[in-house]
Amino acid sequence: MPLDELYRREYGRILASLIRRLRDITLAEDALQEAFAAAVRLWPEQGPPENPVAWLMVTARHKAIDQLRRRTLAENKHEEMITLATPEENAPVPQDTLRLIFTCCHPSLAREAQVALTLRTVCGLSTEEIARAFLVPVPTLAQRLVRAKTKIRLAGIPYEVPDDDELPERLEPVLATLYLVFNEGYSASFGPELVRGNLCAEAIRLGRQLVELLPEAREPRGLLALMLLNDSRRATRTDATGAIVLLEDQDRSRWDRERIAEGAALVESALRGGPPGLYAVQAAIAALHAQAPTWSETDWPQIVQLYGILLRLHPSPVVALNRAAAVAMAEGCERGLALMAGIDLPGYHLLPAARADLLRRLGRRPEAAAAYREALALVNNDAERRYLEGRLREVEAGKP
Amino acid sequence: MHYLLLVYENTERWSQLPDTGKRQVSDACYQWHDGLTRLGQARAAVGLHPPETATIVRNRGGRIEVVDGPFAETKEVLGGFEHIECKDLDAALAAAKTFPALKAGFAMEVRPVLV
Repeated sequence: MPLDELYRREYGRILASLIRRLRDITLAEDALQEAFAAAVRLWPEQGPPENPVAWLMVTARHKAIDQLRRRTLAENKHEEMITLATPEENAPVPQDTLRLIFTCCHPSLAREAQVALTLRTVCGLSTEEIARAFLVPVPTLAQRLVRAKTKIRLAGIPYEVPDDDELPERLEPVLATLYLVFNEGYSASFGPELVRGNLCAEAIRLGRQLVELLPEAREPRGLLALMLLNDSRRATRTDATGAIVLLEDQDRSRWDRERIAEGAALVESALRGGPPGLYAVQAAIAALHAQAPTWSETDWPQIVQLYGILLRLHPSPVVALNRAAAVAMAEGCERGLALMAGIDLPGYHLLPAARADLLRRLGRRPEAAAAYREALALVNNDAERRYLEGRLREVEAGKP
Repeated sequence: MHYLLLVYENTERWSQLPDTGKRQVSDACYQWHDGLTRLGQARAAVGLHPPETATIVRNRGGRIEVVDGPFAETKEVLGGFEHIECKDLDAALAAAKTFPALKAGFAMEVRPVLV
């Protein structure tokens, strides 16, 4: 395996195990970087070791011991030296990755710090890569990481998987962080496609790990299903010029069937064995879309029902808007418009955009044009703006 | 680790509470403190008189001045603190989450102590 691929696949796992022993994220990071640097230097000359992961772990541990020796000249660090001196297994323990995820996503850290820290440590993305993906200056992101690590150390944020009774509460920020990383890659209109695709891939990879490590929990399965099902459509969401292609107009033959099959199977198991969770219900909706042969043959009544469940679990005007859009498909545009009239979402461009869409379908062109203009006044995203401008031109020109 | 659990009271909500309600909350807080003592976590606890009784000492332009009152008029004021010693932040948060006055609109800030 080439070294860069090894880095991608094993960095987070090795780091997690090092952190458990060293109880110091920065020390573990520095030591592992040094170990990889040594590998870059030595492996081409000597040939790669038989067990590269064990080699990296042992080398990193030695690098950490060196660092601590230098430190102990000034301060007492006997305790850490003793932990390091005990001979231990040289394979990363999966449980350590889970510990690291829960530490990075501890509720006492701000969401943006949780995201940055998870991508940096668990996924091994560089500070530059993360900064680029989130359009933040590198020094700002570097400082965010330093602050988060300092808080973990000073505030005594534990490096542990929470107890069963705390688990549902503690899982929530973990799942939210993963989903945010995924959505940043999936729907952001900025940044090179490569960077964004990378974020989706990392979120899915972490989602898989979480499902593997917490086989009893159902919501991680729901989230993984949701990400896979959305990701199955990624290639068809924009055209060659970068313009948005709506679900209705996407080339369904290009959807990733493998992802859809995997996602659909996960949805079923996520919905079984208890009341449905937020992610599982969203994934079930995504699965119905993914499995429909065409837009018009979509199981709209079932989607309306699922949005109803979602609305009870998480009452929000955005969910109500989605439900209203589904009702329009299942029961007619007028019904959808009537529901939308009762939704209060000031400043949110998708409400007038959805209304405009229904008015356009009903042939009520002047009203549709007014709603498109209302949406255009609120939209921030360039791709969406271009889409809405195109629609506005159509209804103004009298196209059906 | 040592943590200071800083108690912030919502003066508006507290003033609206009838005396019996205030007594119930205070009694529950004493019991909560006794519970932490039994767990071996409690180190010190302090309750404060309201901020109107406070005096501020600060340096203004090189001169130490003594003035009346709190820094700013806020609804949330420091009402006291509980100093505990426990394993990690999660243990401290577990103690903070059971603080009875949270139900009366109080908030708690959990700060690690320099040692």
